[in-house]
Amino acid sequence: MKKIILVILFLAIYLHAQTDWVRWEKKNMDFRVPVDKIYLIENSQGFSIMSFMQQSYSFLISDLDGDNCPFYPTCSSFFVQSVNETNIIKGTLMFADRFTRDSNIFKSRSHYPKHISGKLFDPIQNYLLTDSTIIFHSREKTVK
Amino acid sequence: MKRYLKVNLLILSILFSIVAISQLLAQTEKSNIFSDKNRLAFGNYLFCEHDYLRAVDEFSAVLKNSWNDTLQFKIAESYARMQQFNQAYTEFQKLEEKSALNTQGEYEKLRMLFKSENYSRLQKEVEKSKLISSNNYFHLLRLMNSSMLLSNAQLPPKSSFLYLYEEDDKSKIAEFYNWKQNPPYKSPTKAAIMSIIPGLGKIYANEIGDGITSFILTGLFTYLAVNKFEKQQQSSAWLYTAFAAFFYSGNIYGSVAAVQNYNAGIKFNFDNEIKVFINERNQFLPTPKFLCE
Repeated sequence: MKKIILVILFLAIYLHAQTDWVRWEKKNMDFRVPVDKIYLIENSQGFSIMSFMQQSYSFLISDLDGDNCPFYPTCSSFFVQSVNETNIIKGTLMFADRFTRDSNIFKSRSHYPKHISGKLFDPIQNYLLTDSTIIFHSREKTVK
Repeated sequence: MKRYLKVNLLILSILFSIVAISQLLAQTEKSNIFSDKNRLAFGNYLFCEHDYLRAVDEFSAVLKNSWNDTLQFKIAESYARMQQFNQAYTEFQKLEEKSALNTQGEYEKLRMLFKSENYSRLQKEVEKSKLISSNNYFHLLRLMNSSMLLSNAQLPPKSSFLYLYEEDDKSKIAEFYNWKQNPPYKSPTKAAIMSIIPGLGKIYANEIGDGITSFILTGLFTYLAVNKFEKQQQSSAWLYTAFAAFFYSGNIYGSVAAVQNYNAGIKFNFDNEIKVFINERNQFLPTPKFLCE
């Protein structure tokens, strides 16, 4: 009788025991900072020189110089996105404007919203010269 | 003797267990913690504690057994307080026409449309609402007029627009009306023309630092190009000319874009100001008194 009760007891414990220990198992942490997506000029028909220049810039200057652009997306990404979104002429004009704003000698950049990466958020959609694409973000909130 | 004691002990423990279990079962049957009454009390507690998601669960469980329009209203209100305005609208729609809360439900539906910024639908719903013929029609018209300030709808004449509002609100509403009729936007064309002098278009768009930088960069490369042409250094002269043209054309393009962004900022701040003003007045609609704050 005693043995039967013990068997039933252990069987019940075995069947109803919590099996969520899996949640607490060791997990390997990854402390690497996520890198921005690298943009490439997609439509390279006739833009092979631009693609070459962009990739040369990434390889020879940007990778060595580090992450110094105060904007998100960075100036080189902005240029690539502009060309992909519009055309080579408009993309270059947008980049010329962005480069001037980046070179602002007074560093007066209070009118840009903050991005979650800590940089200033300045997407290409606000410079396509179409009112419908402009998204104004509150300066008090961080853009995700 | 020992064996006799063991058997007795076993019988006694079995008897004790049976008595204990039967009492426990009797007790739980009497006060079922999942009874409608308990669920309702717990749901109300959760609602007042701002735990709306769980409150909805409790109210829904009670509603399965018996219909109650107050509970349906509370479910809809819970979604509204969780900022799920579309779901809240659907829940308010479930209130029956004969319900005492139907009128308030109609108001709430319109409030949800306003909060979800669905202004065109709000205007249509106000026009066909049965409440428009009631004594409280001015609540609806105030809300509709307010939504017109936030949408692209054509505004009615100023006098017929303002007469609906209380005296305290009239001056502010008149200010919004004037703004909407004549928004203080800047002209992108004017900015482009002004950019003939590098940087002036940017200064016009309130980006003074960018304007001066643009002037310096264009001026510097133009000076270098002219200088090199004078010295007959053709290759470097053309290189500097290309840079000058690059910054000059970028300055014109950027001035137009800067004005567009400036105007977007003006519109954003205006819309925000109106929304704050209207939300402070509960969208000019009566609010239910039987709910926790």
